[in-house]
Amino acid sequence: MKQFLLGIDGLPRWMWQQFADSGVMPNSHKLLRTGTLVPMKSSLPEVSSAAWASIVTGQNSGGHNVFGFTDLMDNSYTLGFTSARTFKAKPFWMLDNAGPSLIMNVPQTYPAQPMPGMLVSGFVALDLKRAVHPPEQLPWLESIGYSVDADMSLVEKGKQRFVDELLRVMTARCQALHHHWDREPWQNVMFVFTGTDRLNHYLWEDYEDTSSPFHQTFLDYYHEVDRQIGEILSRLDDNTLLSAVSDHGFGRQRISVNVNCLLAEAGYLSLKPSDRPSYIDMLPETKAFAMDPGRIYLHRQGRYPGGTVTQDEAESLMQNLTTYFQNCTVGGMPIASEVLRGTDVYSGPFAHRAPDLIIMPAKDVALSGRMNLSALIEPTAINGKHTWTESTFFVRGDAASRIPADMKVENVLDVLMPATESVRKAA
Amino acid sequence: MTGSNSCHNGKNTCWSCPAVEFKGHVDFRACGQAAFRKAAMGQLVVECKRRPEIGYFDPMSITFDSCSEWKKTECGYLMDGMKVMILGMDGYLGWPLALKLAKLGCRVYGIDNMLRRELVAERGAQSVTPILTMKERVEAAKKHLGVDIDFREMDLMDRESLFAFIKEVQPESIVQFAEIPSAPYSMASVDKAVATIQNNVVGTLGLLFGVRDHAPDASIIKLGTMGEYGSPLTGRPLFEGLFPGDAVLQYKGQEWSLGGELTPRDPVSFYHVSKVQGTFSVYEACKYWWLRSYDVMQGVIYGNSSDELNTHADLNTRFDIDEWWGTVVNRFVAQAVIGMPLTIYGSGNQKRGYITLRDAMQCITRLIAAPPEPGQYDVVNQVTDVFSVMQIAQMVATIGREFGLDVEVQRIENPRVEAEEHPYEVIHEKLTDRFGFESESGFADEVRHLFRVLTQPEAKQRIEAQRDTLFPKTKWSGEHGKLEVLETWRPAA
Repeated sequence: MKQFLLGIDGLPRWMWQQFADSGVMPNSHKLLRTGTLVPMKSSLPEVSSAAWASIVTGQNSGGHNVFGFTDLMDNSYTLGFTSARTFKAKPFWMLDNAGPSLIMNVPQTYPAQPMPGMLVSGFVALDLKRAVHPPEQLPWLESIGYSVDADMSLVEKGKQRFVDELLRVMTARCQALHHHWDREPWQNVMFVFTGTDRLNHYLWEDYEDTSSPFHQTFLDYYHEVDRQIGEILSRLDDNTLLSAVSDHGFGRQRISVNVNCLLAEAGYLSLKPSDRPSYIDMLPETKAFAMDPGRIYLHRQGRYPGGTVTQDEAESLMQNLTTYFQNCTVGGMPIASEVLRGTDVYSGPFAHRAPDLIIMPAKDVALSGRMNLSALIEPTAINGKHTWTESTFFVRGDAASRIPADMKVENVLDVLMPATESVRKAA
Repeated sequence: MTGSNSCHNGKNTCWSCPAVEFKGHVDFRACGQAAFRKAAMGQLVVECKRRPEIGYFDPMSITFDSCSEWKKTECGYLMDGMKVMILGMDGYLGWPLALKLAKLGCRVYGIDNMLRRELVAERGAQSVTPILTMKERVEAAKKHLGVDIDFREMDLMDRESLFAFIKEVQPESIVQFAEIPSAPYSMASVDKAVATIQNNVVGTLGLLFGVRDHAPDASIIKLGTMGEYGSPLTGRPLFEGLFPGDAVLQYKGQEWSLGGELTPRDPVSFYHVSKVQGTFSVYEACKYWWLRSYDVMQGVIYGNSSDELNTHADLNTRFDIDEWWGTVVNRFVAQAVIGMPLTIYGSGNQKRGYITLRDAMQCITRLIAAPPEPGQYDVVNQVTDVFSVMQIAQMVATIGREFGLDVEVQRIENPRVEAEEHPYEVIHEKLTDRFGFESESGFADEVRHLFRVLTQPEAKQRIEAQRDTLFPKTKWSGEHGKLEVLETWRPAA
């Protein structure tokens, strides 16, 4: 049987159901009646790069090496950005016997790597020329004005201008999907709507505020997404297993807290003066530092060039940090709902690269780990944030019987492609 | 050999490295929303053209001293095999810089239209130290220093060829020396003034478009001159191009900050006007297109030595002494050697900043080694000493006696329109404080070296052959006629 895996980045399970029921998404209304929709847990932390990597590999971050959008390169303070190069597990389209695949706009696949079929990378993709495999498909994509991503800086020009850009990008992306879908009898097609995530980040307050002039704009965007879903549904045959996923849920963001400011205030982090501070500016007395969004790393001896935390002191340090963050408030708001241990969360060949602690943000709070310590509460136009719970999983047919009680992003392939499980684990 | 503070740039980050390509600003707090303008907000994301295996990274997180592409040299860390393009390579400064950079391991490219040779010959003058053709010089550099230099005869104004060369080379630094560098030449006739403006202003402007389109990450080292500032009678210090942060303008009881603004320019000839225009063009290009540049306000330069030049006579740089193409110290030494009075214009109390050729080459190299960040325009005052012309004449006469020369000094009617009595406070701190510059050659030693070279029979003969060109004839007023000699004397020992 063929597969069509539809991604809708950042669409909460409850919102999809709500929009389907209310008429905002009529095609989804029909669709959801034909299968099973369940809430799913995202990756830890709940960032798209790690979550999509888990969805397409069936592994947690310890297995695929994507713990966030950023990471320090081994034994250095060089802040690298995770990409297809640092993504170490095989996505399903690279497994033996996967057949030809059309993979469009899946995050964490940039730059495009050779694969059996065609791939156009999703975010973070900085140059279309390197986002396309095979490269001979690039000119056509350029000719239709395909963009790897909407330019976020357009938010500064107004929300309507930003949404117009999201629509433009989605239209070209869908045009590209149908064009390439027609070209070959693909075994697997995966296509991700990512404008939904961008919309949610910047217009969530407008969604919640029904009196906002952009409330209807928000609904209209989802209506257009739904129209495109309808186009896709109309083309599916009975020999194709349709499923739909989102990578995380969404909720309101009222403040964005820079965890490194808290660590500095509490004496765990010390930086030398710098106009543009980065991890390289950490002084040896630093005990712990954060990376986006709430990953805490001990400044361990042997792991970092100037690290001083010994194995003996690590345990007490983690206990102290856990207590500190569990009791920490900013602007009267608790910042953490829970503090997890990396060793309890990750498994696999890259688990040793994992954060020591993961702060699960409290309601309404987003966390960051920037080294610019100028603002504990960061100014931002973003007003919607990811949630760990309530991402979306939908599937039709018998596959639903394989959905575990506590569905997580790394279970998606177990449900959709159970036959590949042994191959994936071996890979 | 250079100063002990040689690694001025070890902690510079990849953001100022021209091998790094800006890819975008990304907000990683959420989903990696990207913006593709350098002016946007967010986490900077770059890629290294030399080390693509690193992938995308934060340029602030790698420093020169931790990067395998930057090697420690006597002038700080220098990018291994850095591609430097010198425009005006055949000139007094261009050639020694080419040799120095090549010797330091740079890949050196250059152009010149050979105009300087033509203009000097038209004047009836010549380089006191014989110089080879560029083809021969390049061969001599290979033979005596073991370095390769890629030189192409090309006019800065031939933009099609220039742009093609820039595109081909993808230089990481571009040094703009390809200008007509003479104040009196620019005042001699309408044709010469227009030629100066045309070459210097239009040439530099065209270059900026070429850099924008074909090598936008290259740092531009643009040669300006201290003469752009003039010599303000108020005694206002000559800051390094931009007002310091705490500078304030007071007017009618109100105050405004001047910090970061370009300081006033008061050029002293049409040549200097062309340099001022060049300054504005570069300043604007950095603002509009995120180009990066150091504008070098160079004092009056003198001397003819460097480690590389001293290796063999075939590597000589040109050494001009005539009214149009020579500079004052070089001319005074030449005059002393042939028994001609050292000619001082007016009172001789005009003060200027000075620097030796050797020190200037060290400064430029240090600037190349520590490129500005994208969009950054900065200015350095490249001088080591401030002297009045009278002081210089006195010092040259004194040193000349060590060589058995009986030197006279002569005041003549000033052919220029300039203040002869003025305060002159030059701020020149950046090169020492930020770029680790330490002077390697003082006035007396350099002048002694010049006397040793210029008193050789062949050099003396070549000076004698152009004796008529040493005494000034070009009046800023446009008038003609011989300049009157006001007084002649022998300085006291």
